[in-house]
Formats: sequence, C-alpha cells, structure tokens
Amino acid sequence: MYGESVSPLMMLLPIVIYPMLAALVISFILFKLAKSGKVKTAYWLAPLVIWLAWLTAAQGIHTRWNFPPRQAMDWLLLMPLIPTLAMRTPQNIRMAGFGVALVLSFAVVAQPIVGRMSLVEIISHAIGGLLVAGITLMAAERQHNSFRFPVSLIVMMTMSALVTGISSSLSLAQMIGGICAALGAVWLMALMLKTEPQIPLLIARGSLAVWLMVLAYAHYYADVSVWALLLLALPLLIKWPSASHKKAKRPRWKDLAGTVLASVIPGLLALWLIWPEQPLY
Amino acid sequence: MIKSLIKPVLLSAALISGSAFAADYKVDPAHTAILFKINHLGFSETVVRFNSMEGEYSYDEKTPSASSITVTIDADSLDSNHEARDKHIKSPDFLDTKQYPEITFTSTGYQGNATQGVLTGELSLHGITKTVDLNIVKIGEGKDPWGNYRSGFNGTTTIKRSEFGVDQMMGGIGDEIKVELFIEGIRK
Repeated sequence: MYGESVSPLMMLLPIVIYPMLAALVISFILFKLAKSGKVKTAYWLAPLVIWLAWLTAAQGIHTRWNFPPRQAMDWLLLMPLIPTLAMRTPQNIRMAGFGVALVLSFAVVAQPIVGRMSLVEIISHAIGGLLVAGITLMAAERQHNSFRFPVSLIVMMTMSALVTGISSSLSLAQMIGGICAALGAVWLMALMLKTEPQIPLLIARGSLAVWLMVLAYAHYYADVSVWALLLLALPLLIKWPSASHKKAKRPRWKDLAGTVLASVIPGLLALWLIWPEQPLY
Repeated sequence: MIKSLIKPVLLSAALISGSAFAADYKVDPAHTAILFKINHLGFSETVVRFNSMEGEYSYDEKTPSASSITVTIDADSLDSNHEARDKHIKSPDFLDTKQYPEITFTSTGYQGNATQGVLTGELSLHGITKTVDLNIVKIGEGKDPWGNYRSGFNGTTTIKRSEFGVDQMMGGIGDEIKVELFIEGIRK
C-alpha cells in the first residue's frame, strides 16, 4: 500500500518462518509422543500446538507485547489458551464449554469496548458469539478427514487474512497469516510422517480457537465486516468425506483442488463484499 | 466604622477586576481544527484532521503564565479525505481508536507573553502520555456580531509517533508528525 522499503525476508520471518518452524518442532514431538504410546498426553496437548506456534508469530508482529498484559493486543496473545483448553472438556458439555470460554476470553480482550456497551448490547453480542463458537466447534467435530479439513481451514484463513488486510488492519492480517503458516506446517508434517488422523484433526480444531479470537478482534477493533467474516467461514459447514482417496484411488491432487475450490469461493465473495469503493492508497 | 467597611470593599473590587483579566473560554468546535501532517514515502505530506473535539481554556492577558487549556479530541473523528485510509489509521495498526477513543492535551505551564509563547502540557495519545511543547501565537480577541466575546490562537508542535507506540510502517510513513492547532473560544 505504501511501498515501504522493508525486506521481504524481514516481513516473512514472523508471519511464516517462525510459526512454521515452531509448529514443525512441536507437532513432531507430539506425533512421536503419540507413537510412543502416550496418546492421552498427546490428545491433551494437540489443541495447544497452533496457539504455541502462533505466539512466535504474534510476538514478532506485535513487537510491544507486555506481560502482564496492558493493551488489548497483549490480552489477545494470551486468551486463546482458555477456549483451546475448553476443547478438551467432556463431549456432552464441549460445545457450550467452548462457546462460553471463547466469549468470556474475548470479553477480557475487548474490555475497553465492553465497558462502553449497554447491557442489551453485551447480551446480544454474547449470544451471537456463543452461536458462532458453538456452530464452529460442532462443524469441526464432524470432520474426520485429516487431509482435506486442514486444507479447507488454511484456505479460509488465507481469505480472512486478505479480507482483514484490505478492510483495515495489516497487522491483524499478518496475525492470521501466522495461524495459516503454523497449520500448514502441521499438515505437511502429518503427511510426511503418515500419522493417524486423530492428532492432526485435534490440532486443526485447536487452530479454530485462535482464528476465531483474531477474527473477533478484527471485527471489534478494526471494523472488519462480520458478514464478510461469516461468509468466508461458510465452508466450515462442509463435511469432507473421510479419506475416500484410499478406496476410490483418486489422486490426492484432485481432492486438494476440490477442497481449495470449495473453500475459496465464499472467500472471494467476502472480498468482493468488503472491496473499498475508493482505490487502495 | 467607615474604615472597616472600605477595606473589604476595596479587596472585593481588586478580586473582581483581577478575575476580569483571567477569562475562561469554551472551545468553539465550529472554528477549531486540529491537523496532523505526516510524511508519505518522502514525496509529500499527508494531512489528517480531527473533526470533533471539545475543551476549555483560561487566558490571562495580564499574567499569561496563568493561562491553561484542556482539549479532548474524538480520535474516531479522524478524516484524511480517504475513507479506506481513515479506517486503516483508526485500526490497531495505528491509533487503535476503539481502545483509545480520546486524545487529550492538558497544559501544565506557559512561558511567554500575552501574544506568543510556549505552552507545555501532557499529550495522551494511543494510551501513552508525554510532555510536549506547543508554540502558541495569539490571533486576536474581541466581540463578535452577536455579542459573544471570542479569542483565537494557533499552535504548532512536532511529535514522534514511535514515542507514542504508533510504530507500524515506519519505512513508508514518517515518524515525525507536525501538529497544528487552530483554536477559537467563546468566553463563558
């Protein structure tokens, strides 16, 4: 936009390289842990992989990170931990648990905005948040294809980064880019190591907590259209057939192309929705 | 008896005449503007203005050092004559107006005469408060056609945005921000 003279490598380091490296290392340890029989520990740690890897990106983008947190962005880095952990609550309360954890965690991040809201506004926003979080988790838990679901997520996340960047905030777009990079690294690692699908699926679900928090931040703090964000996330509702390529002997690139295509179309519509009337500056 | 009455009467008169010089003004937003100028790629200066602010000031012609001002700017009223850019400047990348909806300036001292001088004060921007010096020039004062008493001043200062935690895109957008204040007040 401004044609600033920052080297591409310096830009890529926090957005792509750091989270990819972190995700590769953490997921490798996790896959090895699962293979060595410590499946329960691996299951508990799996949703945290993306958050941990994303932190390496986030601290490189939000360079004035304070601990203890002082600004909303400081809180954003920490609070995804709670909904991520809530993903491991018992099955019968998981949807509500995740929704409540996500809404309350984001309320901490959005303290300055929540403080200016009326009670009616707080209630309506909380209900909206609970619905989105609940539906997202429900859709994610239906997924059993560890090849196509992460790819679909990566495409949706990429589109949300574009929408956020063009709408208003480049730093938040970069934050979303960090989630994509981390999830992409895990997907590649799972392919290379030919792991069982459960752990990669749990890791992919864990990425949803971080993604939803950043999207909520983009909506509340940077005025990114909630309709565009909901639209580009519609492919979450697609239930990808479970590993059909083995039976049908379909080449994987066909699965990949179909997944990318189905996931990118709502994102393109979202881009069209938010595209500014004035030329970019 | 008369002597004992004269003393308080004279004291009161002195106090009344003194307060007539230290007049309190309410900022007239219709005739007040705050501009930020910032370098764009080294080619030009982009001008940004804030359309909504409120404040009060006290101007003492006889003892200018007693003058003071408090201004609160609505950060969300930022206008750079380009809607998409406004949204970007208001976003967490720059001013983060959802988190920091107000920019405030509260003077702490004045050095100079009745027509020009340096007003020192605390500028709070993006959640960070720093001391800044505003070079002030008095433009004029007097009664307007409707009987209100007005006075007006111009002020200029330069701040570094990085010192206020606004440090995105330092390569393309300058660090130094030239602030220009055009203020008019109506005497209360």
